[in-house]
Amino acid sequence: MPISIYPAASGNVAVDGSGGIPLGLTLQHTITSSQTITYNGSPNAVFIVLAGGGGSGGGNANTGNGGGGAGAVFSGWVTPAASVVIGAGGTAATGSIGNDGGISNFGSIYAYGGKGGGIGTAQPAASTNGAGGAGNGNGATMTGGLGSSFSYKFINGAAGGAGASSGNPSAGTGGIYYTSGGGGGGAQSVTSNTGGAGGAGIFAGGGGGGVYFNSASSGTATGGAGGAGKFGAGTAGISSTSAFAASGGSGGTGLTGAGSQGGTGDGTVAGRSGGAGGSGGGGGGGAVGGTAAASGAGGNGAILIYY
Amino acid sequence: MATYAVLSDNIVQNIIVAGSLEIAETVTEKTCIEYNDSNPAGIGWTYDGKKFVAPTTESNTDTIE
Repeated sequence: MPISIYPAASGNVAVDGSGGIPLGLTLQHTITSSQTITYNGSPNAVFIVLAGGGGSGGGNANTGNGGGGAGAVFSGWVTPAASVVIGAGGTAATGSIGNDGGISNFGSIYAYGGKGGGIGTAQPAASTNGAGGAGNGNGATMTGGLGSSFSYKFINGAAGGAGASSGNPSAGTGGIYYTSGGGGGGAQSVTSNTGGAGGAGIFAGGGGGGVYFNSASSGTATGGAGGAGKFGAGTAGISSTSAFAASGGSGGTGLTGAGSQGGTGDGTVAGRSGGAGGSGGGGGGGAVGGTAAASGAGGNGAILIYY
Repeated sequence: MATYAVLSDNIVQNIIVAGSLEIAETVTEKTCIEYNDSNPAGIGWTYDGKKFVAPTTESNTDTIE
């Protein structure tokens, strides 16, 4: 009988949570569009940081809407691949839950897209395409989907923040271990609120949740801040004080850019959009108001190649 | 630079960014269709030959406390 010496595929795999780039390497390529790759010379191995597209925020009328999760990110030494596929950011949503970001791949290495943000109590169905997690307006914390492939183990994305119908919604999860941040929760209520901030990932941050102050008295609605990434700070949330104040969430920061702020103003005049996610996998912000407005689209994926 | 839906049996299995349709189909080895804000697409959507159709979702309304 042969003796099995193989490690279990589902066993623990050490994860370097620092996100550090090895010393002595030079960033040779920053690629934001699918293409075949022409290397400088003939490297035997390259160190890559590969991000999937960010998820878009939720966008719906008269609900609290969450931000989208950041795209999953893989970093590590790999054999040079002939081409790279760059996942697109999730399409902006108007009147619906957010859309998942696209999947990036470099040879056999995959970085999944971020999950779309929830609206009200509805959230995107669990899927293998989601990563990073996403904020859920007025509902429970959203579980993150599959993240990037690391050796032969998939790492779950960070969870999204819970929404709220009173009090402030929760921020998305981020930080150590999770490569990408979850989206922040959104809120619709008759009290002043601040949307949940997108989680800060090791590399890319989630989008902030949108907030709608649904009352004829004066109140303040502050959109959730975008989550920070490794290469940039998160974008601050935008605030509005008035009757029916509405403020979209800010987009999260990606590998190659910061997110945008959402729209703000009287939500009965127009719905207020969410901020777009930063390029390189940032999640989009949630949109809010008395009429449906477009959420922030997720940032497109990207790859950084060092050698 | 444009965005393309990667199809498998008319279901969108991925959405990507590429400089042209030729590049998109070369790197994915799949049939790709361009989409944009006026004809949006998402993973899991269906392509009917002209436009992309999103899966249906339940309507939803919050309760104000």
